[in-house]
Parts: sequence; structure tokens; C-alpha cells
Amino acid sequence: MLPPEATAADRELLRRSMGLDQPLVVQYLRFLGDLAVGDFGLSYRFNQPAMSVVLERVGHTLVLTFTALGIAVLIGVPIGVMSAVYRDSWIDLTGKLFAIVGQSAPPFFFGVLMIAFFSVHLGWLPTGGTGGLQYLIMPAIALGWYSAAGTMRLTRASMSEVLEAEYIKMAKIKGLPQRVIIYKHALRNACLPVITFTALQLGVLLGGAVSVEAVFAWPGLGFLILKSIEDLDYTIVQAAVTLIALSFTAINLLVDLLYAWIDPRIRYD
Amino acid sequence: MTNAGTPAKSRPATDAAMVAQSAAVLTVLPRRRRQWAQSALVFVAAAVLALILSAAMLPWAFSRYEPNAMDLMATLQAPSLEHLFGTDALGRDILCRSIYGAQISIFVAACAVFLAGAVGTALGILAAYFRGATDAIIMRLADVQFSLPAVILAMFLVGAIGASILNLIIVLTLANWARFARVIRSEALSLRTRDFVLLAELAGASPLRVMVRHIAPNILSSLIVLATLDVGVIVILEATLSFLGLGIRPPDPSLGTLIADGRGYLATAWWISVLPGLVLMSLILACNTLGDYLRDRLSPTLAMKW
Repeated sequence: MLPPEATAADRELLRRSMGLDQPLVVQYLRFLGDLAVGDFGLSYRFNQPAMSVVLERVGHTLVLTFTALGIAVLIGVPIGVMSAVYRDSWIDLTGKLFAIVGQSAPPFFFGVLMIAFFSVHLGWLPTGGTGGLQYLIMPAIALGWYSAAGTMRLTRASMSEVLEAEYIKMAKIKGLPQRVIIYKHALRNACLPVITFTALQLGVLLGGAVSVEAVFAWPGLGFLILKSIEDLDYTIVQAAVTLIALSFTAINLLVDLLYAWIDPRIRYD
Repeated sequence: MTNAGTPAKSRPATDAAMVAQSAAVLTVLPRRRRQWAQSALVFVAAAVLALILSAAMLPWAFSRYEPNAMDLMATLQAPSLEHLFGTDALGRDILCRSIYGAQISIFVAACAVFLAGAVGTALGILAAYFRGATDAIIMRLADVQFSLPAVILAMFLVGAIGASILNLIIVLTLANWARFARVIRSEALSLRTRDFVLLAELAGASPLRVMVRHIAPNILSSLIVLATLDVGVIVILEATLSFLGLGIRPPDPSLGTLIADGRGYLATAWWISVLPGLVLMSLILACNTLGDYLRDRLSPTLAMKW
């Protein structure tokens, strides 16, 4: 943190100003005490409270994550439904191929591929940074693609199961239009696990955002954590990781509550 | 596991046609086609994996170059017969570096999956066998791991202990054991109440003996399935960390660092990033496909209908 030519007095001053002259136990207790009131200390790089630096970046990550989630649902659910309805047809095979390839492409590599094609080769989209909508398209697709594949698989599995139920056969025999059977009777009953999965994907996307942000120089949390690890700015890393852990846990709790709210058969006693 | 679906192909004109179609659904034809497609896919996946594994184990048989040997007379060459994957800015052969990169990635992933599986299984069985405080402590530790996305947990740990191959294996293990522990624990909990376990205890078998000889063998098939499915996840995680500069450090090649190296050359030499990336993708693709297949065959309870 100090240049090599710093004097012993400089070092001592820095140690004392950061509280490193205290015993480890004292340091740790002080850290916990500050943590309890949301004080993560100063970032030495920004010379600002670490949490406020982190909070400034959260917005970018949230925009990216939720757009990616939207993409995952908008691509994954329709393809999953089609795959289940036209099971074993070429539509299904294409859908499966999409899912298998999607789940095998790390988001960062998919991002590099898109940059190579859309930015470098075709010159359509900027390679990175932030600004208008055109900056969001590629990062969001790179991030959402992986979850879209998972969503598709689960929708397909859940739909296939529901489509075999007696009441679907009954609806067919009644002569209801296929559209009504699929979207009103089947999808409604099949969407429960998909909703849970989608909500849990929020956490996965939060993790995946790190590498995607690094690829596209998207100024979010992940990019900040990465830079801070490189610069040994640990207060920022601690603040960011704590924030992510808190939101991750909160999401899991919300999903559990949501689950019980959507499906009244499930009750937590 | 695979039951004949009810593909509502077209809207039947009459009820009679509807009933006829429902009956036709039960024939074996679509099932046979599905099985054919699946076995073809599994065969291709096995072949790809075998190719990558043999190249990783016998690199000299697949490439006559050295991974770090520079050739400044042949920099940034496009893929050709001489250099199948082209060369980078220092004239290093990309195919050769990809092979050595795959070697490191596979080695790290294999060690991490093995360790995570071993630790997770041991803790899962211990938690289920002793329950009470042991169970509570182990599962709360698992909750700590689940409270963070794996990439972020791994980044945090690498940031704390530094990047090296050994640390990478440790970090990947710490970021993955809990998944094993949870599944194994729930299986062991139900095994624990089975008659053969109770009888073994009545016969005076020690806890260790019950866990190792009576519970562990019955968990093996789930463990194999979990581990196979985990390989793809860990390979992605390792590549991500290396790509971010927190895993394998240059000049050692890893598939992740190779992709990162080529990012600056996307306009002039796309092959530096893209070809190692395709190797990485095929590796993950093969692992995932085989994992799915094993899961369907060995452990129907874990299987999601596919």
C-alpha cells in the first residue's frame, strides 16, 4: 500500500491509522462492532466509507442482473413450453440442443464470442462500458443465456409432467382449443417450480455478473470486487461480499415465502 | 423415468380422432427415436471427452510444440496445417497451449471434485448419523457456503489466501462441498432408519463401522452422479477464476487464462481466444451430457425428467 521508499515512520503511521498496531483479537472485535452498525471502514483507494462506494455500484449490477433474468424467462419459458408440447419433434431437439449448449458455455466466453462477432466483426455494438441501451444488450444476453438454458430445461420437464395429467386429457376430450389447454390449464400448473428456479437464478446471476462485468467493463459490483482484490482494498471486498451474502439470503427467504403464497398446499409449521 | 409423452400435435377434428390420437401416444415410436437421439449424443460426448483426456494425458502425441516456446518468426499466425489453432503474439502454438491448459483445468477440476465429494460425503454421513449438535454445526457450515454465489465465495477466498494451483484446488473444494453434504445427508438420514443399519447396531457394530460399511456403500451411486455433474460446474468455475486472473497464473496456460490472453487481439487474431474457448466448451458439454446420462441411469430419484 505504501511506495517502497516509505520510511519506517511512514509505515508506523499507516499501521496506527489503520489500527494494525492492536492485537488481533481487538482488531477482530472492533471489526465486528463496526459491522453491527454497518461501518465497514474506509476504502484506502477511494478514501470514502467502503459501503458507500459499494452502494454506488449496486445499481449497475441490479440493472444487468434483472435484464438478464428477464431474458432468461422470455427465452427459456416459451422454448420450454414448445419443447414439451411438441415432444420429440425437431422443435424439441432444437430446444434441447439450445439448453445443452447454453449450460456448457461459460458466460464470460459467450461474452468474448459476442464481442468478436457483433463489435469487432460487424461493428454493431460497443465492446464495453456503460451508457445507453446498446451497452446493456450484450452483457445481459451473455449473462442471461446460461439461466435461459436452465429455465428451458425445467419448464420442459415440468410441462411434460403436467401434460400427462388426467385433467389435461379431460380438457382435450372436451375439445378445448390447444392454446387454452397449454397456456391456461398446463402452464399455470407447471409454472410453480419454474418460478422458484427463476427466483433462485437471481443469486446465480449475481455470481455470474462478476465475470461478465469484467469482460464488458460494466461498472458494477463484480468489477469493483475484482479491482479491489487486485488493489488489496479489502474493506471494499468485505463490504461488497457482505452485501451480496445478505441479499442472497434474503432472496432465498423470499422464495420460500413466495412458494407458500403461490401454492396454498405448502405450509411451514 | 421416460414415459411416453402426449404431444398435442394438431387439433383433431372430432372427439373420435382425439381419442385415437391419445391412444397413438402410447405407442413406442417416439420413445425409440428419443433413445436413439440420446445414445447418439452420449456417444459423441464420450468420444469428445476421450479425445480431450487423451490429449491432456499424452500432449506430446498431439502436438510437437512446447506450450511456452516462443517463435518470434511466427507470431499471430492464423490457423494452418502448421499450427492448427494458430499462434499468439509471442508465436506460441495455441493448440499446444490449449492441450496443456486442458491438462491443468482437468487436473484441478478432478482434484477439487474428489476432495469436495470426499469432504461433503464424510460430513453428510456424520451429520445424519449423529444428528443433534454435530448435524447442526455441519449444516450451518453448509449454509455459510450457500449464502454466497460460488464464484464470489471463491474470489473472496483467493483474495484472502492468494492464487496458486494448490490454493485453487482448496478454494474450489470449499466452494463446492456443501452441495454433496446436503444430498448425502438426506440419503443417509433415511438409510439410518433402515433395518439393516439398526440390526448392525444391535449386533454391536461401532459407529465408524456402521457409517463406513453399511451406510457409505449405499450412497455410492448418488455420489457418482453428483460428482459427474459437478465436474462441469467446477471446470466453469476454475475457468472463470483463471480468466479473471485469480486462478492459474501466466505463463502457465489454463483454458481460462488463454481466453483472457486473446481478448486484446479479437480484431486481428480471433483464434487466440475463440479456439481455446471452444475446447473449454466441448469439455464442459461432454461432462454435462455424460453426467445427465449417468443420472438418468443410476439415480432416478435425482433425475429431472428430460
